[in-house]
Amino acid sequence: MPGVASFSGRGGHGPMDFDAVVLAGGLSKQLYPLVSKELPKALLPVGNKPVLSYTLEMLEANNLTHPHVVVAGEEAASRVRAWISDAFQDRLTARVTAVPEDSGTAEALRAVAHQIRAKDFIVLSGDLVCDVALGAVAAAHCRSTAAATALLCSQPNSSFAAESKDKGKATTAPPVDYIGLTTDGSSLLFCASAADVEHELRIRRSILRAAGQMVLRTDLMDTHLYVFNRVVLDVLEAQPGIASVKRDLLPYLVRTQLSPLPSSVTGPSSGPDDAVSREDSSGSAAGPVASPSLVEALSHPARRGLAGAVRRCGVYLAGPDKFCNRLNSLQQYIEVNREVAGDAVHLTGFPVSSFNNVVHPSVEIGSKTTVGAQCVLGEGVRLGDKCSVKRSVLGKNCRIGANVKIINSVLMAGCVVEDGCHVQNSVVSAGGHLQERASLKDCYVGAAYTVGTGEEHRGESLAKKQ
Amino acid sequence: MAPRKGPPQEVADEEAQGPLQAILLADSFAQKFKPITLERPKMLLPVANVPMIDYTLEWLASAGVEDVLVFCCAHARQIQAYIETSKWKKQPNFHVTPIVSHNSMSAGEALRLIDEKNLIRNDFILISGDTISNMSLDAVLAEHKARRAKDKQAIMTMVVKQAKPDPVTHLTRLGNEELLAAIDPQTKQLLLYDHGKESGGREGSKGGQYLGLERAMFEGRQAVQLRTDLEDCFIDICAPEVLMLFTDNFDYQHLRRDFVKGLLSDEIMGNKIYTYELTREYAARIDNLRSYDTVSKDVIHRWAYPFVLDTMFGNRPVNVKLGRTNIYKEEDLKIARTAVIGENTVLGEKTVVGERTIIQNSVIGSNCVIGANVRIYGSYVWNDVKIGNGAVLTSAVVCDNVLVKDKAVVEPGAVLSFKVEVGGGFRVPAYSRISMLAQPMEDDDSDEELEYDQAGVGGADAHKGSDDEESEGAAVVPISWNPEEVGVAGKGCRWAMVREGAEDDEWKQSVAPIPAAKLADLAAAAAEDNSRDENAMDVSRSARASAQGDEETDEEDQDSEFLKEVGGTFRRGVVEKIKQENVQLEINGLKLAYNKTFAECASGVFKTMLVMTLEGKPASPAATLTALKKLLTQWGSLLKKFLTGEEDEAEVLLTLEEACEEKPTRDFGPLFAKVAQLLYDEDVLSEEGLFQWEGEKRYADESDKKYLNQCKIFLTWLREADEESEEESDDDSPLPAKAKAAAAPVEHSEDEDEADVADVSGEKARVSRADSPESRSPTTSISGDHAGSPGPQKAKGSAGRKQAEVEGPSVKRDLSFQLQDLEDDEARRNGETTDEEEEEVLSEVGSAGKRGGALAKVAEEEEREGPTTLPPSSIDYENDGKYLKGSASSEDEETREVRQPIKHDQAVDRRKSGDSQSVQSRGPDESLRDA
Repeated sequence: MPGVASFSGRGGHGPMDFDAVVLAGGLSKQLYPLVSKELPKALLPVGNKPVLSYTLEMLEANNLTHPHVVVAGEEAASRVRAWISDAFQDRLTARVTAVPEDSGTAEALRAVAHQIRAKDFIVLSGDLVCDVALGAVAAAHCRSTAAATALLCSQPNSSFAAESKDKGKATTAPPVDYIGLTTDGSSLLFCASAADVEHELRIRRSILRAAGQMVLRTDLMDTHLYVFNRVVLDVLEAQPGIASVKRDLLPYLVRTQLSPLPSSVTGPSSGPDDAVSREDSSGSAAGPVASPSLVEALSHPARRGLAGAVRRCGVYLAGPDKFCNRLNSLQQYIEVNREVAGDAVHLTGFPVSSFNNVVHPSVEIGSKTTVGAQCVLGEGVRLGDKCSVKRSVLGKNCRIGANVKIINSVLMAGCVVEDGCHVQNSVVSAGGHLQERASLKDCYVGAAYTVGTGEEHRGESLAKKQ
Repeated sequence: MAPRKGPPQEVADEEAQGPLQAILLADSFAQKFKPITLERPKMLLPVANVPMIDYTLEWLASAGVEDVLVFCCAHARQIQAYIETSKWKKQPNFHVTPIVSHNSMSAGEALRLIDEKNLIRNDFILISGDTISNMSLDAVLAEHKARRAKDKQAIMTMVVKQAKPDPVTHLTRLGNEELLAAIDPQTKQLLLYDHGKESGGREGSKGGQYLGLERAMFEGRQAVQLRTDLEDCFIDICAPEVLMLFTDNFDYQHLRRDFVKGLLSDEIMGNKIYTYELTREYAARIDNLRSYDTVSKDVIHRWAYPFVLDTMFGNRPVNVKLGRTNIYKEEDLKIARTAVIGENTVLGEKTVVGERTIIQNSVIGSNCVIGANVRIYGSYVWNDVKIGNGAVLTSAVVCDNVLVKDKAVVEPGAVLSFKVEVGGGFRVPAYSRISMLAQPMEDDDSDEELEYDQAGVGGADAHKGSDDEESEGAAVVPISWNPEEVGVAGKGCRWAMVREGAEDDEWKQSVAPIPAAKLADLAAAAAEDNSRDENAMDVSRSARASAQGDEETDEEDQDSEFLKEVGGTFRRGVVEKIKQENVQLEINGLKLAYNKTFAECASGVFKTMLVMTLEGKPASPAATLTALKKLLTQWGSLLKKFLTGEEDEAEVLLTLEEACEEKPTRDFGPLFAKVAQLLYDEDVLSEEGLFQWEGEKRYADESDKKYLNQCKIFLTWLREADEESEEESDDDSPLPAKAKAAAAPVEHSEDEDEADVADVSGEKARVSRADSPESRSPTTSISGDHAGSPGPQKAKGSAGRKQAEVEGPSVKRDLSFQLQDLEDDEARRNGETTDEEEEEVLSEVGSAGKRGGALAKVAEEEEREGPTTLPPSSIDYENDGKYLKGSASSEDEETREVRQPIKHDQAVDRRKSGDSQSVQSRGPDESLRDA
């Protein structure tokens, strides 16, 4: 699919002219104690690479080489800036902007609004790990001349713990987002995140009427990757109350997509450019086709004098084979790591061994030690004898003693695990130290924390006292 | 459904395959065809010259139904007679059994009756006799049975068809309100059925811009489909349990409003309804005149094939010839050569059409005589109608035996019921309904009509209780006719709109197309709605906030209603001098009924006060304040009772701000600070409340701070007073904190004023005030040296005095006035009647000039500085000469200052005496003694 659309980077004159804004967050509270001042969320390792690198590589692969990266907090910003200039030297020219730490995502977007020059721009979250072709999303956006296009993916229901626990029951996961689509799945008619829904969903009748049918789905997830038309910047400016892109801006756009625009704001232009891009991408099978019935329906009122430009909200549905996930909770962190070490290992770019795992050549493995599938072992990892590592990610220079079991866990760089430890479904941040026979289950250990000899922890967050 | 042999088996082989049964309700229990249905049941009205029931029965027969129970209620005899003579009686394998009831008022009652008779054993088809369809029942029955086999609780399958409502009118082409349905896309289970008001949808849900969808709906399913593009065909495949449910729930009346809604909202029983969407086949129910028109056209356009006129169905052995452009001609027509028969027209047998007549898109029945030069467009002319030369009929329904005389004009949407005669040259206005029977007046009908008809339940097609011809005959046939209604030599009465208050809605369900002007109006309204909505967004910013905002719009009606009620209650209380407690009780009741907060009650009461104040048309701002003060004095304590804390108090101020912006009470705008102070003085607000309000405003836009700025001085003063009072509280004052709160500075000043009156006893006081400048000065000085006076009050007083110079006259007067009111007793004690005082004060306010000397001067000055400067306190005495600022009136002040010492003592007592009434701790003795 990457061939469908070729982006020209900033200032280009190709058929698709896009800017990219990466909202890289700051010190996410949800990820405490894993993130710290030294390690902002954007740099949290996923499969031994900072999570931001997945986003930036995706942009790079799509020739969007001048992304704006917005980081909350000056210090975090400078760390991110340093890391990008080091890791992406000669590959990307990212412009890192700092915003105050408690800024919402919309605030972050406003901070770089004046730097956006292109007609359309992509906004994505810096913690997005996905392999959807950006080009296809952008093409869908252009084709439908939408003001906003959201990338939706199936709600990941591979939660490992949930699977093992509720094997018997066929319970569906609680919904993350409520998404209302046209029957053909091309337009977004309603969206609300489950957190904002108390008892009932409030659905705009006029939109429902215009569409006639709406399918409200709970099996989809908003990935926080959007393609916006410039118009949206005006909306942001005009509506200072919008704090979050996902929770305020997108619902606002969806809700008001039928409302006539204020005269100052121009609707998505439908110039010859669009016609061209429409033709260009008409061959793509995956791209949704604009629903003629809706287009007709939406323009229908105009016939009656309801003159109003339409800010259409489009949707790109990621196919079921695509991988898409975000780091927005601790459990999610383990999950994304596991997926990146397993099914989505292609995202890391690491060479996969015949055992379906990634083991750096420098890794030393003791005798009778097994490294199972879906593991990533970083550079300089040393494993003692009779260890067992399953579905886990071990960072650089981790030193593991003998008789250690590590299952479904993440150990960041430089961890020391002494003999006889058990680590299950846990995360140990960089420099963590597990003394002999320590046992962790469902724990999250902050940076450079030491777990004493023989200690057992279950479902705790452990961090050094500040 | 292969037709099976024989009559219904007597043996109850429970679930075994019996004959396929159908219940046909030959009574729609609605009144939309009135007055036509007074004389003939709706099921027998012709659609393209064939009675509706024939379409239904023919379809049922062809779809494999073997046993039809025809439930007749209104005009049961006519229907029975029709069925007896029809071919249905003679057909093998098709049994039509009439069931007659004389007192069923709703579909629910009908079904209960049928259940009682125990006639239904299997799944059955429930339809109304006005359904026209050609759908095959095989597929839907198979689906229904398959579901039933798996789940006994899948008791009903509802047939729906796609029909997108008009984007402007929100009506389907059958003239029904748009239906909102939520359906599980996988199982097709119906989850929500909202037919707007027609089926008694959730109150207000129709008007709301937002649809609330319960989250619980998503439990156990990944998707829910919302549809507004469906038309309910009113063809239901039901399990026998449906009848039992009707029996169990004896209050179920309407199939949709009660039964479907009841089932969907009942989670305990777990009965489920499923939908079956028709795609290629035709199904429609003739529920109103609009659908009568639409379905007639559909039949003419052959959508209901094989049930079209030229296929020899129904009971008429009539040959119909179909010409091009859908012109159906029956036999023995006499059409003049020069007559033009346009497209989509049906001409019944033996009809005569005169010269140069034009007929288009119309249905003409049998034996009609249509004169020359007649124009008939889009109309339905039934049998034996005579239309005179030169008449014009547009989109009208003309029943049997009507006589339209020469050159009469029938405008769009008109209905001429049986035997009506329209006078020559008369113009029948659009949407009018004319019948030979007088419209029932003032009888129980109208009530029930209102109640039932809206709910779609309604009495019978005939008017209440008259289901046979005899009683119909009893319907009043007026002896004389009003030529204004039917023209000279015409016959018939014009009916008021069938539904009261529905005049505006007549266009919705009429035969006539919706007028373009109406559409334009609606479109404009919709556009406005939309843009208004966007504005609402602007205000309410974020999504979550806006959700609340929307709720507000939803509840707007309720809100205003609540305010109205509260206002009315309060007003009544004031006018009728009802006891405060009772008023409070009533408002509390309203609060509970509307689920409002105390603050909202207070706001309502306060707003009403403002409105009432202005209703007296006060001549000047001063008079306004006086009037308000009077009200507040009397009712302030009521207001206070609804204020439970600072937040509530701040709410009152916000209300005031709002009121200042709103039209009827805009006059209070410039008086904001004074009103605020008045509230403070009257104890309605505490300083905390004021500060709270100030705090809330802190981050507001500058524009929102307009009133805050007005109050700045007052607030500053309050703060200072607060501080001072703290300082002084350890002085000598035994005054409890409460007293402090209670005794507002203005009150003091008035107290003082009043004290004037009170202690010096009436006349004397006034005289002194009016005549000698000294009389004022003492008061002024009161707190000037507050050495001996109780702390906090004094403090406030003094603080107030600092700004006193700038004070407007009105407030001061009001305050004194208030004081009088407040201290009624005191005044009386001093031999002064309140009324006199009032008069006095008013006169003072009105004409300051009358007063001589310094007072007049002061008053003038005050007036000059007037309301615009708005200093907080009404105290116009400078507290301490030393602190006097160089204000405009400083000169005056100084003079007073000079005088201060003289009456110092007196002033103090006065104040005290004033306080005494509010503050128990300080007995009046003291002040009296001082005096």
